[in-house]
Amino acid sequence: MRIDPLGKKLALVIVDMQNKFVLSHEDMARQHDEPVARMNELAAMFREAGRPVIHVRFIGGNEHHRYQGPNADEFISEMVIGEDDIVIEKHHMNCFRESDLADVVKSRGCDSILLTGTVTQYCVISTYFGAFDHELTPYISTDACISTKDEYNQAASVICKNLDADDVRRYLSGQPLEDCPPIVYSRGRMTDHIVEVEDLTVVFGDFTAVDGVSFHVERGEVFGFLGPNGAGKTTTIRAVTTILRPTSGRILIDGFDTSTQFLEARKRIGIAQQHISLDSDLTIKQNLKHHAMLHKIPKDQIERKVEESAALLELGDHMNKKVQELSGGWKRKSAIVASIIHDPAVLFLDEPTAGLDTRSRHMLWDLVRRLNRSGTTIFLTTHYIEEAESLCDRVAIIDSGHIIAVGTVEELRDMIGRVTVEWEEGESVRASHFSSREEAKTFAETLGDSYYNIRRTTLEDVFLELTGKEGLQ
Amino acid sequence: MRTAEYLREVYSVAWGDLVYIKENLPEVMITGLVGPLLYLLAFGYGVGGSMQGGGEEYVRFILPGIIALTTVACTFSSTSMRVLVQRLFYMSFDELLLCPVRVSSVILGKTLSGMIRSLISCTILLIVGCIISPGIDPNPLIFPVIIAGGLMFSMFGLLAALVTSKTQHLTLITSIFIVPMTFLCGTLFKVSDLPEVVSWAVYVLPLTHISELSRGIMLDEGIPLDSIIIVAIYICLFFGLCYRRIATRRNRPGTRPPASYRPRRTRRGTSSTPMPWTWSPRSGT
Repeated sequence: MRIDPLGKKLALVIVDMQNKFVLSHEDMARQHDEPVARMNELAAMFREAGRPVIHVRFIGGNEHHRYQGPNADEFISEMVIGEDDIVIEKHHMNCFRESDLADVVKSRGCDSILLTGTVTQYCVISTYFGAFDHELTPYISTDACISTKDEYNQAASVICKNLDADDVRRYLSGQPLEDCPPIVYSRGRMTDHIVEVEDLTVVFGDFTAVDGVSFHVERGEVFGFLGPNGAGKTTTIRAVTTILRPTSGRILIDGFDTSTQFLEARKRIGIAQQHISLDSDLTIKQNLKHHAMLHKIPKDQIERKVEESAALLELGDHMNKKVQELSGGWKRKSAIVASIIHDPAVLFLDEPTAGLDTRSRHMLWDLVRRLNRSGTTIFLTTHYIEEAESLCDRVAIIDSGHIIAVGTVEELRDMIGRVTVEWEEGESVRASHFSSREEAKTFAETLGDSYYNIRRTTLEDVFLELTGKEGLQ
Repeated sequence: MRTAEYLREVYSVAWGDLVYIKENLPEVMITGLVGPLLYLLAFGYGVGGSMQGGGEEYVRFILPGIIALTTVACTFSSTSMRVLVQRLFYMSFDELLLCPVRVSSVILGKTLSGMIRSLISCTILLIVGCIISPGIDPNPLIFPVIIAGGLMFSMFGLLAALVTSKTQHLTLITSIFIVPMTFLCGTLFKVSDLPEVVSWAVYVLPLTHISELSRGIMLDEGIPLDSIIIVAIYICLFFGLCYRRIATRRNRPGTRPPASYRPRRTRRGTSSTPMPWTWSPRSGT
């Protein structure tokens, strides 16, 4: 399956203000030969790749804004209006409703726009903000834009990420645009924290399952939530994913407060729970289709989404098997793929490999890595330390409802010491941690005849040190 | 436009169950039809045959009652059992609550399949009834009654599945509510023939009014308005209870958060990246 770079489905939007790009009118086009040529090149590339190209055409307005060139009525009447084009017949300020554009873009299954055309402060910047208000990510191609003032063009390229023709070519051939991450803006918040949890507390009766937990998940990372059984991992994930209402605290998903902007937050969440939450009476394919329908993916996109998911699953003919006929590993994998069918910004995996054999576990790890590479942020709870060590960029360790450490695996090692000395004391094995090998050696020499081993500190050592040995149980 | 979108949402919730019905149609039909058909034959010809005036007259009398009975038989247990299994064993019901769909769409979507089952079964029963007793008047007004009955008992089934946590509890609800209704609610005899105290008790049960409505329509006895009102009240009541139950399972605005939960305002308009100029929307070109 080809997952789009940054998980974005890009549509080209040409804002055709005052009909500057009606190429049949040579006088106007000639004033802006170069940007128009670049714009046409982009349009051709998009069309060739089967991607939508949407023109926003202004054909009316007041005297100042209306096109007043020769044969105005004639060329407007001869204008070729595409099926996806937006025609603005009456306007005063060269403005149009961004919702009209958003509707067309979304109906073509896209979630981001590449703006070209006429750049004015109003047009581009309002489209930029409007795009975010309608959950679209805007990009701009300033090379293919005409601006009445240079500063508009400069300003646009500051707040919208600029893509040139080469970037677009790479994007259309399926390569990630690693150098061009979008500037992230969501409803007034400029944040790289896709999940922010502040002082979360969940109380069941007189039992406090989660007690004042605060942490954040950065965009694009794999964040691990590690803790012994009953530490509060699942309760936290259920509160963050809006399944459970917290007793107190604040949770933001992509800037949206889950208590007040519930549906907006939920649209950005994919969750694969500990149990396999697929309908066992239906086939895998039917389950995927049902998920797509429930997430309101446009009807004409559903088949394609199901096919893409099938390719990601690599289940082949087994797609038509009932869920109950599959092995545990495949069921789990199918549930994960079903949970990302609506391209969520963040995917929550609650102990995805619990109870699976080694082969199935590696199969799921591979899937998680692939999803993360394609731009999905992953929030993962686990009690398998090697899973956290192998997959996660950052790890939070939770015990008895409290977060006791957060950081990269390296940072957590530094917390207790990078070098570990293990030695036998009677029948048990004890361990001490040191910041350098020299310190460890000095300590080991004091152990006399005892058998000892000096090695690198692992995440397991950190976990045991911080949660206590009983955490092992 | 909004209605179309809403209906699409309801359909997308119901889709999985509709596919299940489509793929298991014989099984679904047999489960829903065997009981009512046996009642029709056993009571219509067995009991009715030994009555004065013969079985034909009695079939004409009990067919509307058995149609009312079918609206329960086809909907309650199938809806409640399927939702309970989805909720407790497949866990797909919680998954549904995570999707961006309205609570009312979940309720209507989950009851739609039961309604369709009852519509199909009742139609077959009506055809069988017309064949074995040609005097029966297949008044099309019976269909709204079947739909209302199917909707009401599907919602009751959904509610039962939402409030119980064991299949045994479901059996208990069936024994307490459904079985007595099957025999007492005017399906096989007139409610007015019962002692007055019992008839009042039976009067408040929902199936009585589906029976009364069916009989009123099929035997041309007039449509009892009080029954329409009571059925509407029951539908609203079951809908409201289901809504409350589902809404409290979801962390959605509209449900009252605990007193200790005071969400702070989301910061708006703040930005960590400096903007190159100050600008306010729609301030001009």
